[in-house]
Amino acid sequence: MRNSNREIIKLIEQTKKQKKYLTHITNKSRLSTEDKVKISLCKHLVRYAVTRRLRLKQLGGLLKMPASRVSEIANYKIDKFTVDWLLHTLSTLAQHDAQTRAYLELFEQAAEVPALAVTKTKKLTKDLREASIHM
Amino acid sequence: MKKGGQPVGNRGKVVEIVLKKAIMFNDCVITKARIEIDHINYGLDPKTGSLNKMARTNFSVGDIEKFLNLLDGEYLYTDDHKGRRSRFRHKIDCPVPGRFYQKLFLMIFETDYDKSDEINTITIIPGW
Repeated sequence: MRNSNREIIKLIEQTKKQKKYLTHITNKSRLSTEDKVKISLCKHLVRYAVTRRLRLKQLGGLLKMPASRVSEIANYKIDKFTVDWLLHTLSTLAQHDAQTRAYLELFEQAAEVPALAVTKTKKLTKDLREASIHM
Repeated sequence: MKKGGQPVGNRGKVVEIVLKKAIMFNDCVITKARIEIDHINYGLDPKTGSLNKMARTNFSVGDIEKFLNLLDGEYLYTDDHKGRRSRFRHKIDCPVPGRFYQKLFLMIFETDYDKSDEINTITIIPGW
């Protein structure tokens, strides 16, 4: 027990007050393709902030946008942006991060792949998913 | 006793479990969880600071594991770092079938930089 009960009660009160700003974790299977893509793109920005323990203001400085806007990305408020805006933002981040740059290249390549037979596409999707798990 | 607070360690039963399926959270593989099960089910009385007498939920440890499974593959941001601990506060839809299914809860948990395979679930409170 590392937190006192008083600290926890205070924390709960704060959490209730800030409810609308918090990230909403939900079952992704019911989301539309567009929303899933938006979440995936936001994830790369969050990953960058988390691994480097950046403050929103610092990330905002890199992306040339206010911290409030970065907070919306960090909390996955996906209704507030479009896929192309997120891609543009990731491109800005790619100037500072090799991992994001490589991901965007993969994203481009995946979009360029012609429509394959269903079985081939499913196999490719499965292989890609397995590869990402074993990394 | 801490100054101005309740004694630390007055939140009922704490269960430490090994997750049936490891989860990937913020680039860490989480295999263990520390769950304050009585705190989750009873909550704290803001006036007395101790556990409430009446239960608000009746989640089992297995049910809490289902909540934790929803974190699999997630990257979540927090700027609430205290020493080597990071604290996360999020909204989460209840995955447990029954009266609370798909209802909104608020989950507060911590991860420790020195124990990257462990998650400490502080509480899950009704958020509707």
